[in-house]
Amino acid sequence: MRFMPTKRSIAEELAKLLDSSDRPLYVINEQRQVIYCNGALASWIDLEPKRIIGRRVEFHSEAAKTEELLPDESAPLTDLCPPPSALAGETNVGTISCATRDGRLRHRAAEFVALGRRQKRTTAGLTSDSVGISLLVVLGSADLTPQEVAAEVSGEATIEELHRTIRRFRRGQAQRYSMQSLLGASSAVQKVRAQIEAAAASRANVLICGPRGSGRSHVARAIHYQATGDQDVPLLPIRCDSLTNDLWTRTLDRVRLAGSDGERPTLLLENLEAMSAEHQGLLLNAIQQKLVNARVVATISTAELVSANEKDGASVSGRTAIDAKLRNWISTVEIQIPRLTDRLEDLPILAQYFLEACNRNSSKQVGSLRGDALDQLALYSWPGDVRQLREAIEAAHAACGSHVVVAADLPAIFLQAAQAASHIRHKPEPIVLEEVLASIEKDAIERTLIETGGNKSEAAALLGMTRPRFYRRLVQLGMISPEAEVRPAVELPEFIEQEDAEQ
Amino acid sequence: MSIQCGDRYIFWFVCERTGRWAAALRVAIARHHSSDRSWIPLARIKEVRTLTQLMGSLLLSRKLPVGDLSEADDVLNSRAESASETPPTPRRPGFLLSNSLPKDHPAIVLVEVGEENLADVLEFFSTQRDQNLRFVALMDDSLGKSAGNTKSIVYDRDFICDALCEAGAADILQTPRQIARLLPLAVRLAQANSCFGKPARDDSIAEMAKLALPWQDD
Repeated sequence: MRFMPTKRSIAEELAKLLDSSDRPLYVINEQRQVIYCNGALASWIDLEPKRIIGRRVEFHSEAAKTEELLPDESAPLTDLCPPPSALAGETNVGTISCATRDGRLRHRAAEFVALGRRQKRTTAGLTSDSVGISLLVVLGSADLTPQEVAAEVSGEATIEELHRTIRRFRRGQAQRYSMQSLLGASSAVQKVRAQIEAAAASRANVLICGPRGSGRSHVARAIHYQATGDQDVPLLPIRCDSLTNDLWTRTLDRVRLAGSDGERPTLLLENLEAMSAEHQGLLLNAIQQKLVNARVVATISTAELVSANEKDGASVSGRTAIDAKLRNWISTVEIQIPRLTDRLEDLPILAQYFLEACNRNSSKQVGSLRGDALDQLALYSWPGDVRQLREAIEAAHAACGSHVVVAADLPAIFLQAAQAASHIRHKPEPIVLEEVLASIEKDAIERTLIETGGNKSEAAALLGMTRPRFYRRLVQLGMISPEAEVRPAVELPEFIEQEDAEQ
Repeated sequence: MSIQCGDRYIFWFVCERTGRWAAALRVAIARHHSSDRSWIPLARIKEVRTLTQLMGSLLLSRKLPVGDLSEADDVLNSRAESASETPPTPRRPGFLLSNSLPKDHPAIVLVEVGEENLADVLEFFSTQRDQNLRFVALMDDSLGKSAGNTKSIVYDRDFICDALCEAGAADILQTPRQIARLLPLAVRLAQANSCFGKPARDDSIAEMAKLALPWQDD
């Protein structure tokens, strides 16, 4: 009796043959899911077959996290995706790239074998291209050398190289703003780390408060990269202190359109306190019309927040007040970044980190900071927070003449601060009230003159003075010289002033 | 209320291969000044041809007075000439308006982005930390174009724009015709910078006087 092989036995034989191949190969179906891969492929991309099979492949350049950081195995694979032209059955050769755990890219030549006909699915009258062909991808037996990659790149579509470039950039950003980049072991920093993880998991809006230079923007980006992983979610940073009407309108349009595609980008509003009332109004309007399809992460200076609280929503020091509704909408999660002076135990590790960063691009290699230098740093008040520390270390690195930074290498301000701290404070000097009031009066007059465009009559009226008295004060305060004034120095009778005013 | 700018100005760095963007910027600024519309800060424009020159120029401008910078310009221009045989850009005296450049002086940096330098520009934008600099990407015509598919051109240019924004570009221009929209950015940057004097205040004069009184903290 002649042996008739069953379909099952054929499939098993075929699987054995493919598994024994030293060339990595895999099959993706019409929905771009990996339905088969052999052992050579698993070892090439350093993942077990069970963690590959069933996952979708997508052609985009988002940063992929390492598998340890990626608990969701249903997340798409970007490494194994053939170019769209291959998915469309238009090309049958190309390259496939795979990132190693240290972020390096490896490339192999690939052959794409179409296994079925292209299908098109019609949904609501529209033809969708989401259903394509099944594809067998067979990779070369060895990685391409850089020269081979360069030759390959020059011959293939430029757009793929651009995608690779963006992909490398995003991978770098994700590493730069990883949780490990938030240095410090103090309880305050540990709390911030926990809040970042919670904020990333919740996908809610986040308000980040902290002093200037404390790394608010870094925390905001850490939340974005922690939350999005390798999903196709753009980050749109906006600096509110240089925001123009045109740019803001385009950004809101971008956010609205992005939402309609299903993606929910992260809108990062840096220095929210500097946003004008008009721009706040536009944002509020968009929120009320449910046109903000984005997660909003905003940063705000602690000083501005305290001022706003004290003045019941009205901010001071020349900044616009933050609308209470807007603030409530953004501050679903609120993260408070501590001052450097409140976590001095982190200062040595931060200083060491910045010092080693200086070594990176320098021929001068400095090992550490000596105890006396660290003592001086700890005595300082750090108005510029971590940013100021970085600048101080950069200056010390430049001044350092040996392999250790000593106190003398630090900028002079630290020595002065240490000396001031060691002296007993003197009693405050007495205030000459007349002079203080005169300076306030001068400021008020200057500002009134600016607001009235230099019209002294209007300025006098605004300040509740007669014009002659206003002139006298200008002369007394040294704001104009008596001879510069065209009018006679003698004071005019009150009724003449009144007649002028009536005219 | 306009800002009392005195002799203050905004520094524009333009890094491009040809000179068309800088030319468009000069025209836009000149048109704005001649039409005497709203106030914009005076401008000093510095042209460079490569990112390396731009980095050198930025470094010099943040540390040296303009006299030294002008010498540096000559050096950089001569290097550019020898490297790419591009003729040195003639300096426009009308735009040289200051005697010194403080370290915290605001500047707008325009960088032309093409296929060959996309990676470098992304890296450059994302690693700059100076709070007084704003970066603008100038998209090269060829960037993101793939043969014969209009839809993918739009998609890929958007994709590249997103990456440039993410790296830190304050704005992205697709054509020199759009360059006039950077002038409001210069105004905002000047308003936010202390070099240009006190910014406009929103509180009343009475409130200002009250806040200045010595006993208000007690």
